Amino acid sequence: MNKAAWALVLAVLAIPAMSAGAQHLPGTTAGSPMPQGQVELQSRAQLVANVGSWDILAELLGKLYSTGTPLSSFESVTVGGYYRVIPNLKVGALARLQAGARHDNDVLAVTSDPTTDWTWADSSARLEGVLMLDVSPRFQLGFLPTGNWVLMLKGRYEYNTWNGQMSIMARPELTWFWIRDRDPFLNVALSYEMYFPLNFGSTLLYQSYPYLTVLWHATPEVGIELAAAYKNTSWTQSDSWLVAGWGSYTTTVQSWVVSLGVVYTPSF
Amino acid sequence: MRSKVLGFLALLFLAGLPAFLFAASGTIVYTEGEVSLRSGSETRDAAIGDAVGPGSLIVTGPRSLAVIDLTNATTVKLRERTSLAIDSIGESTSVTLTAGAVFTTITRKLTGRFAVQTQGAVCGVRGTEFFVAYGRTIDAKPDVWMCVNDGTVEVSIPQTGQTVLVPKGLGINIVGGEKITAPRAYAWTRKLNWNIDPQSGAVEDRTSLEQAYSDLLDQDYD
Repeated sequence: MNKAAWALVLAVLAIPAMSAGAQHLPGTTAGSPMPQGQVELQSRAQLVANVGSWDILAELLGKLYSTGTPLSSFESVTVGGYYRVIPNLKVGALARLQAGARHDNDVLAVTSDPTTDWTWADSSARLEGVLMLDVSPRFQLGFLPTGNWVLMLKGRYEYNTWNGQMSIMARPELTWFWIRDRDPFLNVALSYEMYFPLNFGSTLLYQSYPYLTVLWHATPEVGIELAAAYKNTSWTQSDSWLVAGWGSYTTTVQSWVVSLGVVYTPSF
Repeated sequence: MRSKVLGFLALLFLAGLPAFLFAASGTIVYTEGEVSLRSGSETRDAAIGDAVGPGSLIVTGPRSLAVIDLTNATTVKLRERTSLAIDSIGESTSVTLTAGAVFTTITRKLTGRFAVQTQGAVCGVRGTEFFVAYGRTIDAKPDVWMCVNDGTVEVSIPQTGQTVLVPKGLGINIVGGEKITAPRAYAWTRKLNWNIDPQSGAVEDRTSLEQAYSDLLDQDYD
């Protein structure tokens, strides 16, 4: 190979490296706290009380995820309700109080430490309120085997009162019910949840994940739920990053979410 | 003197007459809408005061009901679209429900036995108020729902030998007429109208049995 050929090969190899350096992505530095493929462990306890056409909902949720040591956590309390307008449509309003949530601006540029270029803001004690409006049409797919299939298309508007961020969540969900003695015994649901940011980020989708949920009805009113999701989150440059003069970036982080829950569904 | 004796005997006769006439029978005490009564080969519109007995078949039409007072202290209320046959009245009183739903109330201390038979199952009374109804027919096998408002009811399936005691406030489903589920409280039974006395208010019960079944479109978990 002559010198010209070697120069061409080196140039091709150098272009991605140069562009990566110019983009200055968080996570490119050794010891970065934004690793790929981490596992988030989630647990939740939920009450859904049915009173006629109304469902009253309350949920406690906790999540642990690794960004080094110690583990980071997210906690939330959600309350609200749904109203069944017609058999195939429910609308709802919910409010959530959360701590430990992370947003784009929680990526803080570090200019004083040569071993890393950024860190997460500590949001563990930061309380945020989220208001949600929910609409969920659903249809029973009687033509499928057993007939016990339901397709739901959930849409939810979310408004974070702490930072003013708004988003739309859309989630198609297909659930199969194993009916035993006329009651659900096991639900298996396959969903794809997508968050569309309305006033933040630079991507169409901020977060998306397919997930599989299995709900075992231990009793007619108590269900044990196990779910797994593969989450994609797109992070866009923070204000701190721009102030540091490091330009813009968009990076997608994948992680696994494993969730264990208990659901109590009394009827009155 | 002789006339006084004759008068007393006449009084005794008249007092005993109803008991004699209806010793092994019952009476239709209230109806709404279309109610027919079949006795032997004759079928006619039922009227308040009609006597019913073994072999009688009472059928109610849509938005109709009937209340029957059986002489063994049992009152039965038939909901709309119900078909109830009287098998026997007396020491052992038995009725067979072939469609629809009935409320049963023991108005006094029960002497002897009382049972409501359905396809495949028998609900034997140890209590005072219970409800038996046909639900959906799935794979050509009808479900039967039963719930107890007061006392205890013994439900049995002679074919399988399964017997379950259902206490006050709980109900069961006889799945396809073949299997009795464990007794439990059903929210839908709280809406049942147990009243059998028109003087005390509305007698009609329009609780939908569809509520007994899980509505797959009403399952939300987040």
